[in-house]
Amino acid sequence: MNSSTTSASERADFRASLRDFFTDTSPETRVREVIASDSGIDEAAWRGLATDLGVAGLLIPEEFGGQGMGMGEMAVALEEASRALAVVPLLASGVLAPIAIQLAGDAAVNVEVLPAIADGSEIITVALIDGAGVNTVARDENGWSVYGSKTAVLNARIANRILVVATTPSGTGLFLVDAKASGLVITPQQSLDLTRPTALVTFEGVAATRIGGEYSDALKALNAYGRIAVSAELLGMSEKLMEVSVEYAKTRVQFGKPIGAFQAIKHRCSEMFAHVESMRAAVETSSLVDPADGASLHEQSLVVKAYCARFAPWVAEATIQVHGGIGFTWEHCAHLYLRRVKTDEILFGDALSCRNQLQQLLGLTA
Amino acid sequence: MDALLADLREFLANALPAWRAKWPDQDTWEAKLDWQRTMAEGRWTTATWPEEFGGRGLGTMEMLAIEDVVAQYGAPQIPGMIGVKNVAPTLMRFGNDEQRKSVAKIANTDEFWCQGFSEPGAGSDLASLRTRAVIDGDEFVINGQKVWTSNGMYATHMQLLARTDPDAPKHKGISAIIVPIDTPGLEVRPIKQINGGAEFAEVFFTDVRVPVANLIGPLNEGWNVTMTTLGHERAGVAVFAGRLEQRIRNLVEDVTKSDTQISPIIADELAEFYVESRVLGMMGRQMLAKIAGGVAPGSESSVIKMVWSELSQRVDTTVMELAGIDGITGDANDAKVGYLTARSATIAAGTSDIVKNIIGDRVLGLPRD
Ligand SMILES: Cc1cc2nc3c(=O)[nH]c(=O)nc-3n(C[C@H](O)[C@H](O)[C@H](O)COP(=O)(O)OP(=O)(O)OC[C@H]3O[C@@H](n4cnc5c(N)ncnc54)[C@H](O)[C@@H]3O)c2cc1C
Repeated sequence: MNSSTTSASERADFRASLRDFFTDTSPETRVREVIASDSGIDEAAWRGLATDLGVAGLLIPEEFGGQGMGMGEMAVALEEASRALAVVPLLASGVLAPIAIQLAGDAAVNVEVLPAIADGSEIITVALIDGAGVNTVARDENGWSVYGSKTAVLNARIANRILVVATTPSGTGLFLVDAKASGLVITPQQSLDLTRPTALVTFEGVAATRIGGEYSDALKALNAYGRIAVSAELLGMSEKLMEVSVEYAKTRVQFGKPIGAFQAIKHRCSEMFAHVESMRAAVETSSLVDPADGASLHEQSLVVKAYCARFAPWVAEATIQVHGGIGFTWEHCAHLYLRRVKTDEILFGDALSCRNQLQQLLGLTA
Repeated sequence: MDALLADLREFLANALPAWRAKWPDQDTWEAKLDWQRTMAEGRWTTATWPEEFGGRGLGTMEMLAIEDVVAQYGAPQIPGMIGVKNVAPTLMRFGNDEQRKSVAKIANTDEFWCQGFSEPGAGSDLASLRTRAVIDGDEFVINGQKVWTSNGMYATHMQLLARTDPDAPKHKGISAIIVPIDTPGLEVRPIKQINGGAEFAEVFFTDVRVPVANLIGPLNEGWNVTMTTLGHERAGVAVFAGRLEQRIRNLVEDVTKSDTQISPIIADELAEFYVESRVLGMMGRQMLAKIAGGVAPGSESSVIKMVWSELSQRVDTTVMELAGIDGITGDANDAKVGYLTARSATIAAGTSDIVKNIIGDRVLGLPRD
């Protein structure tokens, strides 16, 4: 995978076309409609992203029907999709699955699976986090079978296939299972994030294809990409929330003046801006790290996620405060963002856990 | 660029040990001046100045790289920062030929400049300053008072802001004037600071007469001239960002190398500083890349100033915590002084509150109160 194949100005054009696309396909009314319908996906938006804009295959090499681009471009797509709260499986199927597969380096699987992701004909999600007290294992019983459970599996209910990381007798492996396979049960969860439902997936000897060999190094890299990807989402949402807050501060009048004239509100908005600009610098820089430099990728991903996971929730909470009572209503968009922000905060490690890992890298703890 | 930095490394590898050997007490003023002269001879402090002014005509990116290397070698900051970073660029831009002669002297410490802007009644609201300069023939007659003048005690010259038209709106009636410190009627008194130093001063003007030719730029345009000056100061925050990042790397390394046991809470604080300073460094480099690409920086400098000042303050607080009992006995003197000095980070060159006002008003377009 590349880090980026485009110039900064090409990425700016790409951003503009995505902004237009989501303004058309994903206004807040549409987002709410999809959420309420319980379908879990905005089919039209996803089709458009996959086929018109090629975003589903952005990270997939051209020989497999994709665009052959990198995180530099994908970060822009993630920012814009999250800004619009688009109800699409972009993180799962457009980012994590293609990266997980490519990191395994299995030529046959690349040919069979990547084109289906790129053209949007299949949604593939990734099951990474073991269920409580469970160690998901894979056993070779005349072909591989998976046992155990995974929690917080993004978009599991609409996925065609699921990539599962499981413990093998000799280490760690990546496995591909059919979402309809026997022994596989998907139990939707009461997800905090309404735009990206999660599920508990249990495996009772589910027939699986092993992809590549020992996967532990690849898993480390996958987690690094995951951190950068959700950081890009956190940036996109924070930026939008800052704009919404500033707009409200200019128009809401109390004590005879717009509340933005009061320094308590003005300074909160200025701090939001500072955090958004910081997140932007961090996301842009880390999304352009050369993937060949694994150590740097790992370290930068921890820095960017530690920052975004700490301050994006601050921005989302401050948004509610700036809005007063209206900010606490279901009708206002603030909670839709807060829910997705808090979800991204946790995915791939919250700020504290990223700092813990950095402490180890820096030699501050054993 | 690589060749340039190789030159710099070679220069530092020779010049720093020589300077240290020459000055057993490197904290003395003479030692610091000597270091500035050494750096000026190498044209390292003036690298971004045009060659006609003794610079290297380099861009901001090169300057950052230079600053990075200088910081890595643990070289001290030059004492004449205000002259080199703020006054000289102003004179190059607005000064006449005579005034521009000061530029080279500022670099080699023949002249030492301060900036007399703040007054007892005009701090954050600088444009309300009241020190008067009245034209009498071919001279300005200056009366009034300045305060918090950094380097006031050492300065040979002041870039003064004085009111030349009391009837104009407050930003319009101000002029920038060069005042030699030894002019009769001018009195400088040191002000002792909380860290024990006396690096700033109050300056009193009683019928101080300087030639009208000492005017920098047009009459009553001093505000614009000064904003350019402050603009240079703001671009410098990107370098501050890089320095803070490096400082935290060094701090972390010192802590890991020492035998002192640190609590998990301090370890996490250090990790927080690491994260935030890395991000600050990324912002600084983006800002400089923008400048290098010919794009004028916008809001970045305010954001970096705000983040830098608050973060550096937190860092010094933690360094003090790390020192433990030695911090209060003075056995860890640097920690104590650093902690006290850091209080100024959120005051000097625009308080944090004012920076937040600026971002709110000018960047976000929020209504003024
Ligand atoms: C170490 C140091 C070096 C300095 N060097 C120089 C120098 O070389 N030359 C020079 O001219 N000056 C210098 N200064 C002065 C510096 O620029 C001023 O101290 C600064 O601008 C604040 O002004 P003030 O001290 O009058 O505080 P004030 O303006 O009185 O502020 C007091 C408090 O009120 C707050 N406040 C004021 N107005 C507002 C507002 N509108 N909204 C919200 N809060 C507000 C401030 O944030 C601050 O917390 C230096 C100061 C320091 C600490």
